[in-house]
Amino acid sequence: MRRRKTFAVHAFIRVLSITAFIAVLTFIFTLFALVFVKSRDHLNVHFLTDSPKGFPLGSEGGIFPAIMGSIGFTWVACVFSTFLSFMTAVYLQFYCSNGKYKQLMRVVIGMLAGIPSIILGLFGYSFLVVRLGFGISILSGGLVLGLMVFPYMTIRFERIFTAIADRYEAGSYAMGVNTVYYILHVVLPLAWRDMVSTMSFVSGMAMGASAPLLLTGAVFYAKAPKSLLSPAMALPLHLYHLLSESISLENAFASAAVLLLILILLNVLTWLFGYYGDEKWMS
Amino acid sequence: MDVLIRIQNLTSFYGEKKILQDINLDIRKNRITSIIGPSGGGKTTLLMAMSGLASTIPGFSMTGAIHYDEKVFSHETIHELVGRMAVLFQQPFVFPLSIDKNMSFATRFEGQNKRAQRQITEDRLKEVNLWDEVKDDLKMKATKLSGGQQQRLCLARALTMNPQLLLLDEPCSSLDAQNAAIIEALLLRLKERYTIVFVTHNLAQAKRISDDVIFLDDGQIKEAFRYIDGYSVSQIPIA
Repeated sequence: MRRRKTFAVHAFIRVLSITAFIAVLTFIFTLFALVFVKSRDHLNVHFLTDSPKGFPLGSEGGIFPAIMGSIGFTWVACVFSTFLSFMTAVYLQFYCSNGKYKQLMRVVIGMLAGIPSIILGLFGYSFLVVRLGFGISILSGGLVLGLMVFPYMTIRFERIFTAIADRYEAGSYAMGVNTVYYILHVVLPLAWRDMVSTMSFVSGMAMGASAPLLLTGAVFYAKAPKSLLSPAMALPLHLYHLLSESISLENAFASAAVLLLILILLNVLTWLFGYYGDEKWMS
Repeated sequence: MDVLIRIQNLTSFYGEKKILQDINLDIRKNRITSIIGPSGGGKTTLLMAMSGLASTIPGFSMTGAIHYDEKVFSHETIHELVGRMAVLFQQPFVFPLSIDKNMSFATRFEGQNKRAQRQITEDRLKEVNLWDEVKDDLKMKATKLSGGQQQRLCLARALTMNPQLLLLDEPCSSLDAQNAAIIEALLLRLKERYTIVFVTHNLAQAKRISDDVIFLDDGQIKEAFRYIDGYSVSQIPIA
């Protein structure tokens, strides 16, 4: 009787997990199919390389400045956030021996993750744009995006470091090396693949975010950015304008398709980088 | 007296819990000293205290002193012992890096040049009879080696630190009989150059390779004896 019940529970969990897996796959496939089917007539080389044109603006032409803007915002966010998260995670894992202080830092990081992104945008506007004088620019927008993804990156980095420390810390110190050497020669070679994958994940988050950019970096129209202090277009906001002001549904779908393609490309590159880089670093 | 490390009145705690109680022990130079006893008796803690690695465990504290290398280490200074002696763990502990990088881990830190690193790698791998098996695959990931090979690699890597003392925590427990025999033979050869402290559950193994045996139970040394020609001939003064 007991065995039959265990079998039934096992079968139920199995069916449930397979159903969930199929549901997720179906959802992703439907989403991609919908976006790519709807955008198939507009997605071409000109769309990728032209600036928005026509009246109202965006009804014709392409989205080149928005692609470059999004890449710029994401790049700044990624660099800023990686640096900050890496240093924070290293401090928490390897140097902070006070448990209470460590706990407090984790709570603060958790709180930062809970702050609505529009409020981060507001902070970016008053501090970076106005106070520091960066203006509406890639730098301001990128820094705010970096701040937005910082908690996710830090928590993930710390977990990666903890997993490595559990296994390799005592043995490394037993070899007489110091913390810096241990970080450089054990932690980084083992962690970099997961770190790059985390960077790719948060880049996707940053690239798709629109609220923090509304007040800090993105504009309705601008040429492809020439410097970090240029204002720029951003793909998600461009898409939003195309839809909300009924400028062009087709171009909105085509913009969405480009955004998805960039994310796919980012993930594939991350995978290739990890796959081929691993052997080189480890040998 | 040919004593390399002397432990005096060592009592240690994890938090409030007393693990070792009033340990007094001399480890003789160029001898194999086995620490035997039931699980939870404090064998590994004693080894961790001797290596200084216990200082990295949260909640560890101790009283008493460890004399080594003409210095006295107490609770405040025990962390300075870390890295002064080679430690081998129960499970082979190889970094998932190449054999070469594993071997040059400590020598690179010491700032040895590439040529010296290569020479030390070769010498130490020969010392543990692993060179012929891996000399053509030094770029291969160390995790691809068999369990016995990995444990010998760990031993070779530990020897690159030029230690006087090897602390081995049940190094054969995860190995089959054949690989365990290889490690035993190796240790018997290595004791000419190194002092070895060896934790084991295996009484037969302790008898085969030990010079001195410490029986540790409930955090205390219950018995200590010396093997001569395979027979435990006498109780020896512990300190």
